[in-house]
Amino acid sequence: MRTRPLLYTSYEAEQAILPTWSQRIAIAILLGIAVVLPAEFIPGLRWLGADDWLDVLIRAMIFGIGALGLNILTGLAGQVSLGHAFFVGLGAYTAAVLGGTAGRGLWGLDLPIWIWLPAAGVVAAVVGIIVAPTAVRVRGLYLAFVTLGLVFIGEHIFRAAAPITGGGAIGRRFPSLDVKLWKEEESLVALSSDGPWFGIELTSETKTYLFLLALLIVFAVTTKNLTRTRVGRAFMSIRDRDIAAEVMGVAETRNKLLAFALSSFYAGIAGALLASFIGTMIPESFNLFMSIQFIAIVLIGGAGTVAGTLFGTFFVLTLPRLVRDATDWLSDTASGGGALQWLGDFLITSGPGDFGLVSTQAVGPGLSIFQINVILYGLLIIGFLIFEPLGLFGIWIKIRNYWKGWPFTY
Amino acid sequence: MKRQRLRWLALLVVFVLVVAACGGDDDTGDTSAPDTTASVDTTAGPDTTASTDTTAAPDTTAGETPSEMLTDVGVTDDTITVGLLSDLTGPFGGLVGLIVAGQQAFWANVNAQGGVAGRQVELEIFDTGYVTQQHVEGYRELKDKVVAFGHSTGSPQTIAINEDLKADNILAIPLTWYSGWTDPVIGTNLPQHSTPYCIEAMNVLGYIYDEWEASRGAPPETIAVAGDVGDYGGDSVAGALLAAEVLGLEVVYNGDQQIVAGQEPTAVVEGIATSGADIVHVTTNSGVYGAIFSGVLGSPGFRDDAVWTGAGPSFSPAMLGTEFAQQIAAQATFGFYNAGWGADVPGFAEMEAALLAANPELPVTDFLSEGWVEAMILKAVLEAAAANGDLTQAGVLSAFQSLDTVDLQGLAPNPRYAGTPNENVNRETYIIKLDLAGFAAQGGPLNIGAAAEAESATSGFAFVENLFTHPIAEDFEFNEACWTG
Repeated sequence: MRTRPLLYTSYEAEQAILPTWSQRIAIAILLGIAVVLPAEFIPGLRWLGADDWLDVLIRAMIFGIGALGLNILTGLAGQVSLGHAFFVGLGAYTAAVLGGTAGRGLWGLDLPIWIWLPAAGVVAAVVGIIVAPTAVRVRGLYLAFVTLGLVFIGEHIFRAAAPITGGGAIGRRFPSLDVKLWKEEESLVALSSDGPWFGIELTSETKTYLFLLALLIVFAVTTKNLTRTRVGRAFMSIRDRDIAAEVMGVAETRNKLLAFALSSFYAGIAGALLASFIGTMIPESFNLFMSIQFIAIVLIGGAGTVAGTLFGTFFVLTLPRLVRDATDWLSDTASGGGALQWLGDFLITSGPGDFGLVSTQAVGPGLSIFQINVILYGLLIIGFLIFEPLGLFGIWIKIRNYWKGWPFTY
Repeated sequence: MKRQRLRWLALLVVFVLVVAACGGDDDTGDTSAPDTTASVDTTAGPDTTASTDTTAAPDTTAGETPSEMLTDVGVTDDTITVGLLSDLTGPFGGLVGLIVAGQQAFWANVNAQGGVAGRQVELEIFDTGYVTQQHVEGYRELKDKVVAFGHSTGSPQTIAINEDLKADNILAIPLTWYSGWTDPVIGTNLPQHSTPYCIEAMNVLGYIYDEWEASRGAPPETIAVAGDVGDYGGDSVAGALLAAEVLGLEVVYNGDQQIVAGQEPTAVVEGIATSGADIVHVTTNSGVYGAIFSGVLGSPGFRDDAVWTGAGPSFSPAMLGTEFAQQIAAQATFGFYNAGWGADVPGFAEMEAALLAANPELPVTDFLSEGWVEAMILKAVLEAAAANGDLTQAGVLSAFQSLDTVDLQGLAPNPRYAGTPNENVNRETYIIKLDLAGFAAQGGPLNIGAAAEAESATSGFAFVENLFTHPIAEDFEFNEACWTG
């Protein structure tokens, strides 16, 4: 009886984060791989553990935290927001002022990470609560436009507030991710430099990766738990039919406010981490494109689910690099021979007179791999919206359902 | 539930410990060269290259230096990997793509002749799109793959990675002419070349002033200035304002830091149009420059006898294909950093041959030689490092820091690295006008293959003065960057 799918004998069992053993084992294996990845000994995944790929994964995990926040607001509570980048920016600049170094006309208090990281979330959440009353009065397309305004107002303020942001197109340096007790020289946990942890030499990328993996797990589990609480169910009822929710006694305004605050908190934390990881950012980076990137993650991944959001994040953020690596590989194949040489020849143009689709040269015929990336990105969003509205998560569900009934079709 | 969660936590902890245990032994062994010995050798390096073998050579490596080469990142027994942080898709994409082509041709030529220190030089190109973050991302991605950066596009972007370059001991050749690179406080890792924006502005404005006075009988009286936000525009505008003061030009519009990427330059257009200035000095990218020029052209305040100028990258031969080509060709005079296509200088023949071999369909432009010049400097640095027996990232940097100059064979003024900023800074500017008639006569843009067969070819730029230095620039006391944020 225990192994029957969809048969639950208690409410707790139905609400469990990982209801079946196969899921538990799968997650355990996945986590295990994730943790040991930087050691570069997993067959077939050694490349992924190299420092330059860890960089990509770190960025994906930071975006993952931000996307989980947007997932609460858009996926759970059903409020479309194009203003996510503004809150990401708020978090980044809170971190800059509290944790950054003063100089060149910039404000900075040099406070340690345990102050600026939570503060980044709190400041973003407070601003979220302040602007939310305007936003909760409208819904759907109108809400999208209100939040769109937020991004533009925010970008303008960031650009003008030179003492905080360094000014338009110039930007400033952000605090490093090192953990300090107070303002001492030697940091307690040095994430930004290579060095030993428990006697083992680790690169700064590995340390940052492990630190963010832990943070991402905390935020993912928190989000998952939120969906199982009274608040999460209130959000979903508002999403599904707000009037019906109100009739049932769900306080609409209060819950929408809460959704905005929570989502902004996540965005703020992600902003602080992103800015701190990248090191130098300009105010223009917290723009509409970043908001759209978050929306794309949620849509491609599958709105409303934690796993889908994480799928989406890793897919969207690793795609450009994968395409680039694939092109490089094909380009080598085209010149080096081998079974796939015809494909390389067809796709890659390596010089004058060779009319392939993708150019590896800086000038000349063919599209550059950077242009290919932008095109792919757009095609994917359109493709998913038309063919798989549930996103990558929907595809996963289909695969799972197929094997559940195998060998029968239903 | 609670117990189960604890079990998960325990499992996670176990995994963390497992990684920790496994992480150690996999610490990529190929780098092998211990840092301490590397630094010992680099300090000794300068002495040995100074040609006196007998002096103070370290006791251990005195006899058998050359065969043992210290390496860490980006150098194997048969390759040297060099990174390029290039704006291929951003506002300067059209120009930087050509500069990259110049670099590629240079290294292909070097490799055909046996490479550097017996190793083939390979380029690893990253598109930064002239976006600071993307630039930083590119830097982070490439710093563990390359021995040095063959160029880093853009002043604000290069400033953004400067702290990291210093911390990581990596050399990058700036593809930007910000005066700060010559300032030893800022530019320790950045071998500058050619004349910086602020001195260029002095040369160009001095030239325009003299030409105006000679041809019209009386000197010009007013100037309008505007520039991109950040170091690029700031540096150029600072030089223009300084020159205006010396020349006694009244600044009727000051749009310093007023041109912002992604925003319509309406305020600048209006400021220039209503100022009625004799000279207009705008520093931005060629797309925005064209927008500002055509904006002013369409307004009632437009003066068809004003002279338009700005820093070199503000212009592009592509302007000759626009509907205002006639007008801007009649009014523009500006500065440039290296010798033009077809210049009668010693280095041109080799460059032309290499470019023809690499890709005869490249367009005739004066930007190809910029890439060539950058690569010449890097090659000189790499060879010096190889002579020191130290091709580590830090070794390459230290080889640059003990370099006096590089012979650029007339393709650009030779850079100077040994003296004070005032002695080091280049003060020579190429003065350029747009050659619409010549361009139209040859039927528009020509590729270098066709140009080699034609009697003459123009890129669209006419070099009216080579290596011009105006007295203002000559007398300018340069001790630190003209502009800092």
